[in-house]
Amino acid sequence: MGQCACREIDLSAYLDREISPELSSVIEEHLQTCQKCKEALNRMQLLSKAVQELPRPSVNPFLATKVLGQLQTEEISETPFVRLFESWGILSLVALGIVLVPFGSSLFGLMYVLIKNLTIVLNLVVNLSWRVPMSPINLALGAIFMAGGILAFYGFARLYLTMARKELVS
Amino acid sequence: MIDPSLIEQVKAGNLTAFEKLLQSTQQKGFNIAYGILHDTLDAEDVLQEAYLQVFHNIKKLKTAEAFKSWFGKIITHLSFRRSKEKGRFKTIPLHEITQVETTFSDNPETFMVKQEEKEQLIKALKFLPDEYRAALILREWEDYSYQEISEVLDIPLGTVKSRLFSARKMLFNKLKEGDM
Ligand SMILES: [Zn+2]
Repeated sequence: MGQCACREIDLSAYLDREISPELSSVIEEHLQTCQKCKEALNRMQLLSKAVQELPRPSVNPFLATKVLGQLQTEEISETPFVRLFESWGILSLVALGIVLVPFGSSLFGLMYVLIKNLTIVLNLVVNLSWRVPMSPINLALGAIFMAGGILAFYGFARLYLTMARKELVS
Repeated sequence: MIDPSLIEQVKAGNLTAFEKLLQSTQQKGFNIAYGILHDTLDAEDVLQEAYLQVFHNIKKLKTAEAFKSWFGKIITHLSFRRSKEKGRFKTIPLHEITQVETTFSDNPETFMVKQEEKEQLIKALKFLPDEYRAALILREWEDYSYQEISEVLDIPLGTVKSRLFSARKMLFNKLKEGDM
């Protein structure tokens, strides 16, 4: 009988009871006579049992509390106001696109010149800012630009988080 | 199996039902994440994110029977992602695996898994590429069928069979080599 009819890969599937009844009975018959396969199966069984018996830590008992807490925070932040910020993120993207498509190359050219002459530009900005009077209009303009920047940033972050959460599930 | 009416309640946004679902599945989910990541804190983070995804996406689940594979898939994907973020994700080309020449009939006297050798076994498991460890953990710890594993890992049934066999072969080989 020298030759072994069993393939170990089938023994592994046999061990998992994931094999057709026909192949199963072929293997069982073969196992009666083949010591080599019998030992191989026995070793696979031991290994499988050893893995099954490995200790697993218990899950954190506060998991439910944590998850529910997080869901509730989300719910609070899912107000129309927040949706507005989300759409603000999209609006900023659209605005960016509108500016970039027709004026992209000239904008890049301008940036290139600005960066190339960074020291001169910085000097100019500092000089100019001293000359601009501290009028309420200028202050208000500055505040509006800053608020707009922060809102856009927040909008992007929300947009990203929402997309990241929806990404994985098919 | 999960009670279909419980799934329906969760789909309707019922938080009490969701908590019940979480309580009845959390240890299973944790075992999968822990089996892949072998780090309690990482596994907890993964589980937390997984349940948020479950809550937000459960409407996409077609049947209650599909929950096991679907849930396993979310946990496994998030665990792989975490493993990659930590720079620990291991993968090896297929030809290297098939080159593992060991068979289970080699050197019987050197192979044994005794109580005191559990440490060795854990080390050997960590040595496995993540996708192989995942398949083995799903099978041995959580009793996923080949069909379910193929859904979780997005691989054909035949690949599940060979992946589990290779995982066992690599484990066996590593244990035999000893000194890790
Ligand atoms: Zn044989």
